[in-house]
Amino acid sequence: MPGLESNFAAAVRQHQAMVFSIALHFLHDHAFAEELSQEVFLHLHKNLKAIQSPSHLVYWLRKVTTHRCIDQARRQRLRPRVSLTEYLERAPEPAMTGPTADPILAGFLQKLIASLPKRSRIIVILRYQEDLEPSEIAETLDLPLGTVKSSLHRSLALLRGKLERERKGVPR
Amino acid sequence: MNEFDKDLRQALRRTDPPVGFVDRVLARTHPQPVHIPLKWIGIAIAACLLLAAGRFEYRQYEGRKAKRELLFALELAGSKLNIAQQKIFELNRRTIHD
Repeated sequence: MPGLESNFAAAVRQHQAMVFSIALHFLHDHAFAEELSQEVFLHLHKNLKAIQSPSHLVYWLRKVTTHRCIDQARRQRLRPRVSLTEYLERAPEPAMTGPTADPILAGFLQKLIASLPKRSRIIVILRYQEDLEPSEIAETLDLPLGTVKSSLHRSLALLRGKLERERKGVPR
Repeated sequence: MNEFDKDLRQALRRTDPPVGFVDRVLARTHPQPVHIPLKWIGIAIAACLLLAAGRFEYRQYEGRKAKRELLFALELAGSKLNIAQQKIFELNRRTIHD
């Protein structure tokens, strides 16, 4: 992609939120997320010649980030498990929620998502953070479309069930 | 889009990394060559030489100690043999006289 080498800083600035957020929502740890995001951009810096277009850059960054997230989780087995009661006892992380969001609900959902199995977690993140269609998720993760669809269906049912149970158990 | 989908999108909104992220990435793309002061190189060489000399001296000491112990053991074995030999002579002499 012409000009990417000279505009590397601009590319990092433009895509930092996407890469960092995928890592943060997946790993649920700011330090790990920043480290992983830096490594993704360093990897990009070494492979600038492989990038063909702006859309290819986005695709490439998503693909590398998601694969690195899964590798990292495999190494560290980061799967926090938390109940709403437990979550309510802690302060929500303000950086992860927007000003209009219900911070408790958003924080709880983030932790529920972080407790999903690796593959299901990344599928949910790509669907709801990146707004990708199941076919695009399948292409990014090198998975069959059916697997993505069924995993997404199962994960959403699980998340919805957990949320309902917690809502019934703890008055909000 | 239902309420649950909206909640999920809200929970998974994009977030900017901590301030200075771009600078930190750029800094890592140009790694600075590590300058080790000459003084530390001198200290490291001196420490290596000292360690080597110490090791050599220790091995010499161990060798001398082993040699001393061997000589002592041989001496001890020799004196024991002498005693045994004297006893055998004594017994032989008594047997002949009897």
